[in-house]
Amino acid sequence: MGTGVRLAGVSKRFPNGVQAISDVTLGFSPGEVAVVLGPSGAGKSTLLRMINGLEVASEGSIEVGDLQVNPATLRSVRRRVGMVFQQFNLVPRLSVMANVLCGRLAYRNWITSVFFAFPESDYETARHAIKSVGLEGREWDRVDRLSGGQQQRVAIARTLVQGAQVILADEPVASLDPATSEEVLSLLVALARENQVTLILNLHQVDLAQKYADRIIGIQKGKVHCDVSADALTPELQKSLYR
Amino acid sequence: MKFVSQSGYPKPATLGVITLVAAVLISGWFSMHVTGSEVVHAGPLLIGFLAKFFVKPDWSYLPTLLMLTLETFLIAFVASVFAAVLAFFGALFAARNCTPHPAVGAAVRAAAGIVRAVPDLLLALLLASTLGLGDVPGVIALFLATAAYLVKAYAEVLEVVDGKAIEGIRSTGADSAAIRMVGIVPQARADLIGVTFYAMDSNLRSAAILGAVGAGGIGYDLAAAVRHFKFDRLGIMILSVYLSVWAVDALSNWVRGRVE
Repeated sequence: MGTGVRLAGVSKRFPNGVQAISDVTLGFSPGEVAVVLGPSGAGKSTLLRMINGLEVASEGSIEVGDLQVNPATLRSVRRRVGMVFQQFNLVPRLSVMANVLCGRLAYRNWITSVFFAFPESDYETARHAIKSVGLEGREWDRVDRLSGGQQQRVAIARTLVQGAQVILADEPVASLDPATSEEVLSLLVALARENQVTLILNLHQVDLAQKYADRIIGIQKGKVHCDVSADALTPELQKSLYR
Repeated sequence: MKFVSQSGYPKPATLGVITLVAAVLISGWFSMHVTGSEVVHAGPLLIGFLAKFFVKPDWSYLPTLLMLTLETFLIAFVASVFAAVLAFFGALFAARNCTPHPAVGAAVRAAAGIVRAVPDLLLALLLASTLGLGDVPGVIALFLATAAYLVKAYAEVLEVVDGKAIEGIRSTGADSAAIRMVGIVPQARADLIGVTFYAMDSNLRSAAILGAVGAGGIGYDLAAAVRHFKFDRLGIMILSVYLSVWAVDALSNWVRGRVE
């Protein structure tokens, strides 16, 4: 069951002086599929990464459900927010099963981490997730021997076993060829809708955004340029966003 | 650093350095008073000398030799294993991406550095003078020296691990133990093992020498054989050490092949 995300007056200035995000206020409703579009360097990645605390906001507040995102709540926030990365961010030498099980780490103690001793119920959950991303039978393959599309499916499975209520996807298909991009994106969106998870994606392919999103948010130079429903993204709006 | 200027010719500074190095080499050669005839005759002399080692080995010495080689090997092995375990924990504090606090990391690295500055032979001597002769001071000396070396080696391996996996694990809400044990260590596993075998190899050779200061193993007999010109034993002794090192090397390759 998805949860809402709220950003209020959020800004981010990096130590080198770059103002990546300026005064962004956005709200995401539970179960919504929203795509963030914008030119390179607009701040899309930074915006997403502030939601699960991988970047710390300089100003403003961010809430995931009833939780404020701050240094003290990071683990609790990350338990309910899953992330899919452009370069998959898996542990290369470990198997598909091991990587998917990592999604359960937030629910287990240090003994599990050190000895990698997950209960059978976690293995069940993982097997189920691996099946739903179409990798049944490949549980024990090393992930660095898989194709890009397959690796991204493992990453998606990892967010599923995490029981994430919000999934952030930072350019999830940028490293994949067009056909695989469609496959992976449609899988991600389908699974999100099936589990009623709030899905926020960064994409640079406008056509994919229009195809899969409920809502499109345009970011330009760290500010919200436009915030429309997917079918209301006119060519003029698009052009002004990527100017 | 650019050694070549815009026009494509070497920079004056580059030429200067090359000339300087050449000058040092040439004057050094002449100051050593090494004559051409000495160099020419050294080859055959060396071969003649080496032949003495293998002409008539003292086979009666073989049982003792095998015992001593085993003893040397065990000294190296025990020291290495205990050192590896201690150093692994130390490295989790010393590595900049694993340490709970930068000050703790710096302290561990400094402590390891101080111990590492003392040559194993000196450590063995110090310990032998306190604990007496035998295997124990040898093992302890090697253990301390190896642990200090491995802390730095392990930490360096852990620090260059790919950050993407670490970020992936962090994003799941895992605790700090998990981030290290799942995100960092598995990626470093092959290199950690490689470094450990390298230390084991080095320890085998060190253990062979430590005996010379009374710290057990083949070293004492080795030193005695050299002093009394017992070439009939020296040959097989050196061969024995060589075979031990070769065995560890083969084992290392096999294990690393399996781990990859």
